[in-house]
Amino acid sequence: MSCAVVACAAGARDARACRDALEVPRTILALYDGTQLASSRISPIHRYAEMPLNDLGYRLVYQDVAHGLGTMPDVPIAATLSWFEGPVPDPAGLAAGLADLRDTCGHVPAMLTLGDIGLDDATIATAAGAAYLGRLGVVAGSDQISVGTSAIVQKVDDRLIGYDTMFDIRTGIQTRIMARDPAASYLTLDTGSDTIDLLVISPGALYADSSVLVREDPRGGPLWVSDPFALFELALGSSQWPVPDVTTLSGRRIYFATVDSDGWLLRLPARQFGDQPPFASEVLDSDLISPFPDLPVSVALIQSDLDANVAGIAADRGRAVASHLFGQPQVQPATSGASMIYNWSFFADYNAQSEQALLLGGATTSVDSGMLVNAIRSLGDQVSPRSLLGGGVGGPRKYVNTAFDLWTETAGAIAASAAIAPGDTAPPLYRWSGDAMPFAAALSSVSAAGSENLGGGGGRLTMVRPSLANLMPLGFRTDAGLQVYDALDGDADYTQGWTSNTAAFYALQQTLDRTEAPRRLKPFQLSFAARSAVDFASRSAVRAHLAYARSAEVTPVTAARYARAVIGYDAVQIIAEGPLTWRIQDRGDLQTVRFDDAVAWSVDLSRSNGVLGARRTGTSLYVALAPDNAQPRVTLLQSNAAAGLVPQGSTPALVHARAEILQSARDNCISRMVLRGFGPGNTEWLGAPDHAYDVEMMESDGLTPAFWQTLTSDAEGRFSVEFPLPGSAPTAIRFTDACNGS
Amino acid sequence: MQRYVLAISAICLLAVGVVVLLQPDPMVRLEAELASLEPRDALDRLAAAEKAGPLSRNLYLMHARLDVAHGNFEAAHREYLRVLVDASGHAKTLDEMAELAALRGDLTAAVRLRKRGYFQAPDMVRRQDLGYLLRLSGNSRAEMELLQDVSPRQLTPFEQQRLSELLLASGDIAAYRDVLVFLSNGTDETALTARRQLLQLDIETGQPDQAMARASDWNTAAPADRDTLDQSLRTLIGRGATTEALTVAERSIVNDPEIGDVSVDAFLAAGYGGIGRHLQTLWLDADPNFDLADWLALALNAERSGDMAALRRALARHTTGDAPPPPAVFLQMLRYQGARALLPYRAFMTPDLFSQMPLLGAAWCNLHRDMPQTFAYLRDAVNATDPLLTEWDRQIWMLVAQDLRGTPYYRDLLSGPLADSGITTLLRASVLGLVPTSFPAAAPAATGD
Repeated sequence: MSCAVVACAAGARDARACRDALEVPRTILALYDGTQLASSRISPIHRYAEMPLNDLGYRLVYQDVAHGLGTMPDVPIAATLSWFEGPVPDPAGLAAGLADLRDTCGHVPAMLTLGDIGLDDATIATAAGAAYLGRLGVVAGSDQISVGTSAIVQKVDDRLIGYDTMFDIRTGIQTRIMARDPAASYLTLDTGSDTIDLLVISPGALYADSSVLVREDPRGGPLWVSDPFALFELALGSSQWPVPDVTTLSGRRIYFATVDSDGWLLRLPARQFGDQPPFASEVLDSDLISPFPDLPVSVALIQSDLDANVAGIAADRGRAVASHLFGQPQVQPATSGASMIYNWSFFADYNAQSEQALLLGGATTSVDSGMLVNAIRSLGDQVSPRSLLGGGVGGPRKYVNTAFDLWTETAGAIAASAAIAPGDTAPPLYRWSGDAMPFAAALSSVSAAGSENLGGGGGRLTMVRPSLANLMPLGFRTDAGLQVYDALDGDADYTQGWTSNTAAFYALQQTLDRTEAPRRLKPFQLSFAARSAVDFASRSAVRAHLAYARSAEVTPVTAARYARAVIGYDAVQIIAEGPLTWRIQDRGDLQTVRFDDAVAWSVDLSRSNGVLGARRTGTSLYVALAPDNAQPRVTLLQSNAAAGLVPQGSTPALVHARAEILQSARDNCISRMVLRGFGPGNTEWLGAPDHAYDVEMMESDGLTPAFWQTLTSDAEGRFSVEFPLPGSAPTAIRFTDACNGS
Repeated sequence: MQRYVLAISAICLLAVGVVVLLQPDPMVRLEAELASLEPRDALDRLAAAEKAGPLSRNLYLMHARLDVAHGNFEAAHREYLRVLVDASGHAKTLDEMAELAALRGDLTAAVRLRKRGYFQAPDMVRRQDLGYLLRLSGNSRAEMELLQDVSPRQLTPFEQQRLSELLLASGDIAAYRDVLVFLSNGTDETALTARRQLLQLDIETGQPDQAMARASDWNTAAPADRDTLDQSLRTLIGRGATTEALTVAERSIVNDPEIGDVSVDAFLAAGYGGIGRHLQTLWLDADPNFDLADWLALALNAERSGDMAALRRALARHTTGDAPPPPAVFLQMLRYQGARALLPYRAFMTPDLFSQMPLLGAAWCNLHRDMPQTFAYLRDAVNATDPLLTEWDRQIWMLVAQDLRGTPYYRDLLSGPLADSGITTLLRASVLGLVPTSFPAAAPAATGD
C-alpha cells in the first residue's frame, strides 16, 4: 500500500490545487485489475458501462489497481467505478484508498461497484474494509453463503431488472452482501436460510452483482439484465447540468460518412464473357459519391493501392479515381496508411524477420505455391506478386513489399493523400484499418502530423442486436491521446466482411431509428467501403442510406469535424456559476450541450451569452453554442416554451439548420453569421412574433448579395429560410430587422 | 417415288417435332437470360414477365432475392410466399425469409420462420439463431424446449449452461438433475462443472448420501483425477457435508495414494486441521513413493498447521534412492522450531540445498558459528529473487544477522545495497531504534508432535 494512498485515505484533502471549485465533476475514475486484463480496452467497463456514462456526460479515466490505487487525476471526480471478477492483488490498498477518498477539490466521489467488490475475506474484516463497504451502502456477511436451487427472488424492481433479458439466479457460493440503511435493495434473493441483496443503490453509491449486469450470449450478442441508464442515474443523480453532446449540431442530428478503401481495385462481376467491368472504386465514384454533392464524405486511401509498383497496373486507374474524388468539394481526403494494417499490435515492436517468419510459417505448401505462381501468371500484370503474399496467408497487413515503417504508415500516408487533394489545407483524416487498435506511437505520429483520427468502436442496435451492450463509447484513451471511435458499425460489420447476406447493411436503418429515440445516443454515421460497390445488394443498401440522409433532418459534417467534437467532449469543463447558470470552457469544437428531462425548462437568451439557440427533441433540450465564443454562458429559466428558449428581443435565435454556424454577431439590428453546409441550407429561426426580417446570403466576397428574401415570422416568432449554400465553402448571411437597437 | 417422298416428309415432321419438344421451357430460358443481366435490369425483366403470367418457383425465388437486394422488402416477402405456396418450404428458403423478417424488424415473423426452417432441417446454426431469437422475444419456455429437443451432448457448452439455467428457473428440478447427470459423464470442463452442480443439488435436496456415492463413484472410475476429487471434496465440505467428504477422501487415498495430498489440502484449506492431519497420516502410510510434489504438499500443510510430525515421519523413512526433500521442508522446521531442529537432518544440509534456499544455509552456518559463511548466505538470501523472503523469513534473517553484530560482517550488511527493502528497513531500525511492525512474532515451538 503506497504512502500516497495512505495520505489520501486519511481523509486529508489532496495537496494539489483544485482546478475550479465550481466545476461540475464529470470525470469517473474507472478501476481495473491489470493482472487479469492486458488493457483497459478489453475491460467490461470500457465495453459496456462507458457508453451510457458518455451519454450522461461523463468521461472515463482508467487506472490499473494491480499495484494499489495510484495518484488521483487533477480534475474533479464524479465517481469511482469498478467491475472486478474477484479480489484484486492489493485488496487492503484498494479498501484503504477508496474508504475515504476525496478529489483535489475535496469532493467525495460517488462509488459505483459492479461485479465483485474486489476485497478478500481478510480485508472485509478490517476497519478499512468496513469503511469501504459502508460507502457502498452495504455490509458483508462474515461467511460465504450458498445460493442453491431452492433460492427464490424475494424482491425485485421491474423498472430496473429485465431490461434486455430476464434475470436468472446464479447458483454457487458467494459473499453475502446486504443493503444498509439508507441504501435500498432493488433485487433480493431468499436462499432458504439467508437473504442476499444483489442490487443496492443509494445517492452516491451503487453495488450490482455480476448476475444483474451483462449476460454474454455467443449466439447473438450480450444483453443487459438491468437498465444501465437507470442504475447510473439513480446513483449519480440526474441533477441538471449541461451535458456535452456530440450527436447534435445546429439543433439537428449530426450526419457524417466515411469510406474505407477495402476493395478499391476489385472489379465488378462480368456478366458476359469478354466484359471489362469497372473497378469498385470507379463505381463508388459514379454511383455513391458524385451523385451526392450535398452529402460530405471522407474517403480513406491506402497508398499502396495507388502505387503500380505494388498493386500492379490497376493502381493507375485507382489513383485516377482518387484524384477525381478528392477534387469534389464534398469529399474530405483521408488515409488508412500505406500497407493496410490488419493487426496493429504486431507492429508495436516491429521486427521484419518476425513478419517474414510469420508469413512463411503460414504459407501454402509447395504444391499450392505452384498453383499460386500459375495464378499470378494467368492474372498477368493485374497484380504484383510481391503484393499478393501478405493478404493471402493471413498476415498482419495486406501489402508487404517493404518493411513496416511508422512514418510511412502514418505521417507519410497523410502527406501522400494530401498531395492528391487539390488545394485542401486541412490535413487528411486518419482512418484506423484492420483491428483498429493502434499502439501509442502510431496515435502520436498521426497527431503530430496534425490529423484527426477515427476508427474502431462503432456498434449497432437492430432487432437481432437490440442491446445497448452492442454500442461502443466515444473513444479510447491512451497515453498518446484519444482514439476517436466510429459512432456506428459499417457495411463490413453488418455483412461480416461481405461473406454473409450482403443485404444485411439495410439494417443500419434500424440502428438509426433506435439510436434516435427515445434517446439520441449516436450521430448518423454512414460507414462503408469501396467493396460495397461491387455487390448489387450492398451497393443498393448504401444508396438507400444516402437517400435517407438526404431527406432526413440532419446536419451534414465531415468526419474530421465529428472527431473534433469528440475531442472537445473529452476536454470540456462545465462551471456552475449559479443554480441555473453554467459557463462552458475548453470545449474545442464541441458546439452543443444538452439538458435531459427539460420539459419545464427553457434557455433564457437574455441572461445567456454565446448561445445561438436551442431546440427541444423529446424531453431533451439541445443548446447550440456560438463557435466564436470561447466561454459561453447558458442560463435556464422555468418555462415550457415550445421552442425551448426565450428569445432576446427580435434577435433571431437558431432553432435548427442543415449547416454549421461558424461565426455569429449582432450589431445595430443586423445579425451576421457565417454558415458552412453541403447542399440546401434549410434553416429555422425564432425571433419576435409577426416581425419582418430581411434575409441575405453573400457571395464569396462577403459583400455582394447572392440571395435575398424578406420574411415575416409567424405568431410564435418562427420563420424558415433555405439558403442555397455553395458546397462546403463558408458563406456569410445576415438578418436585418427593425429591432429598436436590441 | 411416292414412298420416298412420304418417308422423307415423315422424317422431316419427326425432326421438327423433336426440335419443338426439346425447346427449353420459357421459364428456364428466362432464368438463363436473367443471369446475364445487371440486377436492376433483371428486376425490370421479372416485373414484366410477371405481368404476363405466373412465374416458376425458381423465378419467384430469384425475384425475391433481387427485391431483397434492392431493398423492396414488401415485394420480396410476397414473392417468398409464392415460393412457399408452390413447395413445402425448403429450409434454405425459410432461412432467407427469416433474415428478411429481421431486416423488416419483425421479430415475431423471424421466430416463426426460423422455427419452421429449423424443424425442417435441424442443425446447430439454425438452433442457435432460433434460441437467441426466442430469448429476445422473452419466450423462455420455447427456448428451453428447443434445447431439450436434442441430446445435451449435441449442445454447445453455452447452450448446455443455458439449458441448466432455464430448467432451474422453470423449477423443473428433475429435468435439471437429468441434464447434469448426462453432462457429468464426460471428461471435459463441462463435465467438471456439471459434477459440482450435481453434488450441490444432491445436498440441497437433502441427499448427502447420494452426493457421497456420486463423488466416490467418480473417484473409483478415475482414481488419478485430481480436479474432480478436489472439486468434490470442496463442494461437500462447503455445503456442510463434512462426514461424507471424509468418507470420499479416505476411499480416494485407498484408490490412489499418489493424489492423497488433494484430500489433505481440501480439509486443511477449509480449516479442518484435525481431519487434515488424520488424512495426512493415511496418505503417508499408503504412499510409498514420495516425489517433489508430495514433499511440497507436506511442507505447505506443515506451514499452515505448524505440525511437523508428518514431515519428520516422511524424513525418517527417506532412503538414499528416494527423491531428495526440497528446501521448503526444512524451512518449515526452521520457522517453527529454530535452527536446532535441523540437527537431526545434517545429512541433508548440503551446499546444494543452501544454494536453493540461502536462508537455511545462513541459519545452519550460524548454528556452527561459521561467520563468513553465515554472512555469505545472508547476502544471498536477501538478494535472491526465488524464493523471495516473506515477513516471517525476514524475522528469521534478522535473528541470524543479530549474531553478527559488532563484526565487520554486520557493518557490511548495514552498508548495503540489499535488494529486499524490508530487510533494509529492519537493519536501519536495528541501529536507529525500535519501530512498530505488523510482522508476526517469532513462531513458538509447534505442538502436537
